[in-house]
Order: sequence, then C-alpha cells, then structure tokens
Amino acid sequence: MKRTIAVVLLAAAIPCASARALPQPVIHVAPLHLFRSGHIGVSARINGQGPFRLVLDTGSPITFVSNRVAKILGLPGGAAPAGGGMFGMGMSLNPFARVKSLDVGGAVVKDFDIMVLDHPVIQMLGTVEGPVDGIVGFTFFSRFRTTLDYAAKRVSFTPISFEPPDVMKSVFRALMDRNGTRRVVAPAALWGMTLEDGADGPVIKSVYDGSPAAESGLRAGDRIVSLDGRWVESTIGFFDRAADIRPGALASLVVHRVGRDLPVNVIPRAGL
Amino acid sequence: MPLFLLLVHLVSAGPVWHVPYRLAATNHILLRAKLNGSGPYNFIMDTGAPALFVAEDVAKKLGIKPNAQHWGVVNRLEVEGGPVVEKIGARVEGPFQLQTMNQLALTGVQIHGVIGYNVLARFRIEIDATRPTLAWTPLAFVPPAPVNITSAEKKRLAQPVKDQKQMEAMAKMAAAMFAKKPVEVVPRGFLGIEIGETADGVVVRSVLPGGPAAASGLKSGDMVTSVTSPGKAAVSIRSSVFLLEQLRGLAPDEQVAVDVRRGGETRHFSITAGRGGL
Repeated sequence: MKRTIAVVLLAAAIPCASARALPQPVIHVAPLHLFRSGHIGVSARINGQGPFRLVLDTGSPITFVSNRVAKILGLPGGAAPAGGGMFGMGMSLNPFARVKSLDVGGAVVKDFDIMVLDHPVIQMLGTVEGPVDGIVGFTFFSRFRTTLDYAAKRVSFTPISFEPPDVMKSVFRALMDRNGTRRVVAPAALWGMTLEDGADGPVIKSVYDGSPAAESGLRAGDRIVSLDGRWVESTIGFFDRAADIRPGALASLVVHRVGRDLPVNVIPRAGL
Repeated sequence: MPLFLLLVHLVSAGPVWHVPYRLAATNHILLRAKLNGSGPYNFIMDTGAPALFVAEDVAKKLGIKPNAQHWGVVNRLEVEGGPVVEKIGARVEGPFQLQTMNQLALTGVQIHGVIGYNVLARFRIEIDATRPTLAWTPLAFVPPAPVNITSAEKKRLAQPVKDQKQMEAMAKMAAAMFAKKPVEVVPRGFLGIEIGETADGVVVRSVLPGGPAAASGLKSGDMVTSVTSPGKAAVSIRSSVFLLEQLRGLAPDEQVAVDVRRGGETRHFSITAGRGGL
C-alpha cells in the first residue's frame, strides 16, 4: 500500500517523466483466499465458465481441475484419483485436455493444457473448507511475473515472455536417461588456481603465478565463502557457478582468510 | 531534499532480498537454505505445503527433535540471498513426493525439504522465471498457524485419505522401478593454459608454471592445430570456443593429446589433466 501510494505520488511529482512514459505493463490483481490449512486459493474462469475455486500452488508443475469441473466444461473424462500419478505416470497416454482459456483475475492464458484429476489432497481440502476444484500450477503462473502477498491477500500477474518447458517431456527424458553415471562440470574460463574441499567449504590449495587468481590477490589457504552473492559449499559447487562466468567477466568472491571475510574481484581469462 | 528523491527513498524503503533459485526438470522452484547455521540444503518453494518440511535424516543430523505429531522447531532458517526466519515450526518428514523425486534423481540434486506457508507468508514474493532471482520483501505479518483437521472432519475424509495412500504406494512402486543411482559429479580436468586467437588460429597465450600443460612441455606461442580427447578421434581446432567445447567432458587424470605448430614444425604433446584446478 505504502509502495502504491508512493508510486502514485512519484508519478504526480514528475509529470514530464510520466508524459513520455514507456508502455505500461498490464498488471492483473486477483484476491487471494487464505484457507485455514495454509493453502491459498484463487477464483478462475475456464472457457468463460465458473468461477471455480482453485489452489494456487508453486509446488505443482501442472494445472489441473476436478472431474466435476471437467464435466461442466465438457472436457474428455479424466483419470481416477490414484490413476493420474503425481509425476504424469498415469494410465492414459495423454492425460491433458486443452481448454480455450484460463482466466485468473483478468490474467488469461489461451489454448491451455489442463489435467483432469481428482487429487486426494484437493478432495480433503474441499471436504473441510468448501468447494475446491483443482490447482493452478507452474504451467499457468510462470507465464507471468507473479507476486504473492499473503498479508494483503492478493496476487498479481504481469505478462512476461516465458514459455514453461514441457514437464512431461523433461521428466520422461530424465527417466530414460539411465546411462549417465558421471557428469563433468566445466568452468567457462581459466582462473589459475586449484581447490580442495575443507570441512567448511572449498579451500584454495594453490594459486598459479601470473594467473587471474594471482593478480586478484587470492592466496593458498583462502576458503571461498561466496561467488557473486551465492553460497559456495564445495569445489563442485564453485565449478557449477564458474560454468556461467565467461572469460573477461568480473566475478565477486568473498573469501575467509585468518578469521576475516574479504571481498576479492577476479576476471578469469580464456583457457582451461 | 527534492521531493523526487524523497519519494524514491520511500519506494525502496523496505529491504528486498534477491533469492537465487533453480528451476528443476520437474518445473519445481528450488531454493537453498541453511538450518541452524548448517547446510546449505535444497528445498522446493511450495505454497501448496502448509509449513516448512525437513527430511528426517537432516533433522536428525541437526538435532531437531520432533514431537509425537512430527513437529519440531528450527531456530534459524536462512534462505540464500538473505531472508531469515527464526524459531519456526517444521514438519519433520519427507513427503512421499520428495522421496520419489530423490529416488528418480529427477532434479539433479538431493531435495531435503519444502519451504511452505509458515515461511512464505511472511514475505511478499515475486516470481519471474525470466530473472535469475526471486524478490522477497519482508511483511509485517505473522501468518496464523495452519489449523489441524478435527476428528469429525477426519471421518468425512476416509475416502481421500485412502486414495492418497494408494497414490503414495503407486508412486513408490514406480520410483523403485526407475530408481537411479546417484550420478557422480566431477570437476572438469585442468590443463593450465591460457588461450587466444590470432589470424593463424588458436594460440597458447601462456602456460601456468607448475601446471599439467607445463609438465608436458607445451609453451606459450604454440599454435593448437588439433586435440584428441580420450576415446575419440582427433579434431581440428579453429577457434578457442570450439577448443573449450571439445574438452568440456575431460575428467581429471584423463589424457588429452594436443598437436601444435611451433616454428614451422608440428609437435605432439600428451597432457594428463589435473584435479580441482580451473
């Protein structure tokens, strides 16, 4: 609220700035129902029908509705409660049905694949707290910048250009990929040091003369605490982060040296 | 102070934490957090969970003792990026979904728990999958405790509870069928060369003294013409990016053969990749 007021005041205070305003992103705001169980619910319209009350669930990769709603919408029959499977390992080869539109508070996704499933948890919630007809999951909310505010009891959706990956395909790929017994993590650039795992994280074992690590002042014995603001818990963890740091990019480290945390900037170079 | 600046200050008054996350192959949002100063551990950010869930083995290791209803207390939960919640109730149990995901190695990391309602409700949370971090703004809001189901209500839940059990059994069966051994993750092997490009091709700009390439006899100024990775055919090298790409999968202690041009001659070197270097 304070933020909203401030934004309004700010806009009023600098009319010249708002006059040549950039195209305003459309923000759709929907009320959030807070269930006694701690779940959050939204009102949704599907193919213009409803509203139906659905749980907004950041832990659900997919969006689904109950058989009750499927019947109202005339969708093909869904899976039985235990047949749907949490990870898409259901009885039916294609457990999804396509709906023309799913609308939550004016945020609309068109031609949307929805699963028909009587999920036991949703049935329990519905039994205790009144009708609940499914879950709004990642396939919907990831297409928006989604802001949850439990205190204000509202959720806002701003369209972004993000297409959620097909979870069925990636899970299937992960299940079929049974041969990979070893994964090599490759840094994208040359730092000029060796690491070994200590009790509290990776420790620099050696620094090569004339290397980016040497030039930045890193020393053998330094324990690496963080890289670009992210915790580094192991040598592999450091290599994982370093995979995204291109030659010539500035990397900000925090190292622990004789009882103190020191910031160190390194610019790794092309090499390996 | 000009009104403009004052207002900007107001807008950005609250601390906003930028919480790094990773999107799993299962489209779950994975966060890292330390429990009572230990970790980091991997968690799913889940508004569909009523509370913080911590796997039994982690709780045991940290000395978090659950009561008969599986509730324990985490003294300090620190989410990567900055948010901290103290004295928070936690369900000590790994939901079957986590067990299944871990058994199937679906996310590439071991998941240790779920961050749910009793943590998430204390923040305004912005999720934008096109950005590398989530924005968490602390709220002056203590979420009401999730309410337990009454015994009268439990009677009406017999069927869904049965279904849930059946679903768990099926997931467990499927997980056992597809169970995957954890993948061994190794750091890429280290050569200790800086490379660059000239009009004539890829050049060794410097060889780190005391490194694996130096031990093999490679020198700065050598022009790299081809490399042979273990078990593969020789590949001609035209760019430094291509060279790095070819050696992406080089494991420590493996040998790579490198052909270079040095002063009009072709020389052949065999380098044993080092461990833990980058």
